[in-house]
Amino acid sequence: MITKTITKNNNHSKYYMLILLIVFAIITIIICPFIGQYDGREILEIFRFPRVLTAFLAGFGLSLSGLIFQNIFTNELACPYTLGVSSGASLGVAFISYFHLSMAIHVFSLTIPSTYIGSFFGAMISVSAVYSITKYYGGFKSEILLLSGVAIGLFFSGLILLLQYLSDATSAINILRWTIGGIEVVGFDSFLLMLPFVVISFIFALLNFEELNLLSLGEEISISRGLNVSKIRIHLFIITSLLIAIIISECGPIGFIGLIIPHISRLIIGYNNKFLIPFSTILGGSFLVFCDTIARTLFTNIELPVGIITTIVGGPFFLYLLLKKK
Amino acid sequence: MNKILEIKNLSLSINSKNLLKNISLSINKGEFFTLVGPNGSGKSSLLKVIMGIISTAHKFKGEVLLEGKNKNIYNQKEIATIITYLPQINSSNHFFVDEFLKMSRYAHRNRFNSSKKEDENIVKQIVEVLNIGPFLGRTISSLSGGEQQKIYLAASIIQQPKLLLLDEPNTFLDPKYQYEINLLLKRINREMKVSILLATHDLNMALIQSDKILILKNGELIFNGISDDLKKSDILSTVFERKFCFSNNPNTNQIFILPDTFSDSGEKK
Repeated sequence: MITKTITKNNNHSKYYMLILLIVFAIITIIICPFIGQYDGREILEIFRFPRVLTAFLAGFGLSLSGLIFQNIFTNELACPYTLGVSSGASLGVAFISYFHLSMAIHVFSLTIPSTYIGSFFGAMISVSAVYSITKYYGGFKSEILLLSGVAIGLFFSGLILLLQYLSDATSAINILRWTIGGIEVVGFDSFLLMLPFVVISFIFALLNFEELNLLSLGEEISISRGLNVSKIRIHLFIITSLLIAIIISECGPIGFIGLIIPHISRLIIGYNNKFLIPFSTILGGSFLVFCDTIARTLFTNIELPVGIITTIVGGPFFLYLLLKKK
Repeated sequence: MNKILEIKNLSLSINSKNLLKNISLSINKGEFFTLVGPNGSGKSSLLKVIMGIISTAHKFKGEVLLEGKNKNIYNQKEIATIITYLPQINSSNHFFVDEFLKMSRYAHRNRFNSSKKEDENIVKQIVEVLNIGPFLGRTISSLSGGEQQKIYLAASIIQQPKLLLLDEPNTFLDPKYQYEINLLLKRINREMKVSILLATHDLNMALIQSDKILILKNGELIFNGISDDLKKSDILSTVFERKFCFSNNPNTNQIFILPDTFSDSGEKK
């Protein structure tokens, strides 16, 4: 009897909070395009709404990937940025850009830009490297995880700089645009390209919320409860790398969303991934829309790339988490 | 099937270090085994190999049979309905107790065919039997070490394994909780007929509670027998390089063991 009452009470309030957040997200998406100066409906339709929706999807996906990494690595400091996965994916884009391999690949009715593929392999290489190093040397200890993430991130950043230095002016500017991270889209193309990948990853994560819950308790407990840890990890690595690759190809490595948002969400809604996944993804989406609106309207004469804002906010937050952990 | 676990000639080496050497043993339904040995003797490794936590990717020889069949033919969920492992717990578990307990039914659930009602009933039943109702609405990290151990034990039982592998569940607990956990283990074994293989440094618990005692030294199983045989042999002194004396509790007549501090190998004379 006690079990039932307590669980129901908990879950009820969590559902209410989720509904509240969804309402908040819808309001944000509707209001933000109107913030700042604009002349005529065209600006809204071609620039503002696509930009807000793309920002929402990017924040949604980055938050999801951070959350998945934190469960896999049983470490709240893991996110695409701190694990060097963003740098890996950026290197993939830079590589495609440098060698002028940009083209569209048609798979059935889908048109996939080759930058997605470069970015995917870059992300997979870095996540595999960090995973192998931490597993071999320290069983997912924070310091090893972060140091290997930083080392791999720096190594890839070095390679990006090299490619940038050797590139012609157009490629160099293209690469620079990605490494900062920003949402400068025209029309709904980016949004529509990202949408299926984000939706599929979200559904996959939500269907596997129990597996993610177990993973977050560590390998020993997960295996003892009957989870095929290696299989689910591989599935999650592939789907997360794909998700990051697509977001980074479109928006560049926007930092720290995957770190800040899941952390705040846990404080509000708890650790159960059944609620945490929808909550932190929607919050992530809204947060990036909010940050992007600030980036767009902060100065009257220029628009800042949103990556600058998230990194300025995320850096100190990361330090706070690190010190708290100590 | 009476035999839950059978191990045949099991050897394990990691980074060219032999952690387990040619171990054979079998555990029947309802039996209580304790596994003792000095630090680094291979107790945890043995439990982890049985559960599959140390993977066969390492240098691994021999066979592990569950209910008479080679463990490799089962998938992980099937294995978890026969055995489960309770490691030394860490306190960074922030789930609510009720959420955590429900997660233990994972092995019995199927995405397309899950019996939520049955799961809830089993959770409710174990919560009542182990008297952990008051903890349900709290997070695990907010509980004391002893309370956490109780919850983890309850979770393992909710999983309904036939054999429970435990890695030093009493370490870091005060005498009150040590006693409570020992009592719980006894009840789980006697009333629920769950076989137990428990790694411990508590020699008295091994003597009093278990049907059979296993002693490991440097990865070798050097004793597999009952407490009376252990009492007669000099094996403990060999393993721990210290003399022990056996006595009986005058109130309960139960046997107990103490390191002999006045013997030649002790520090005092």
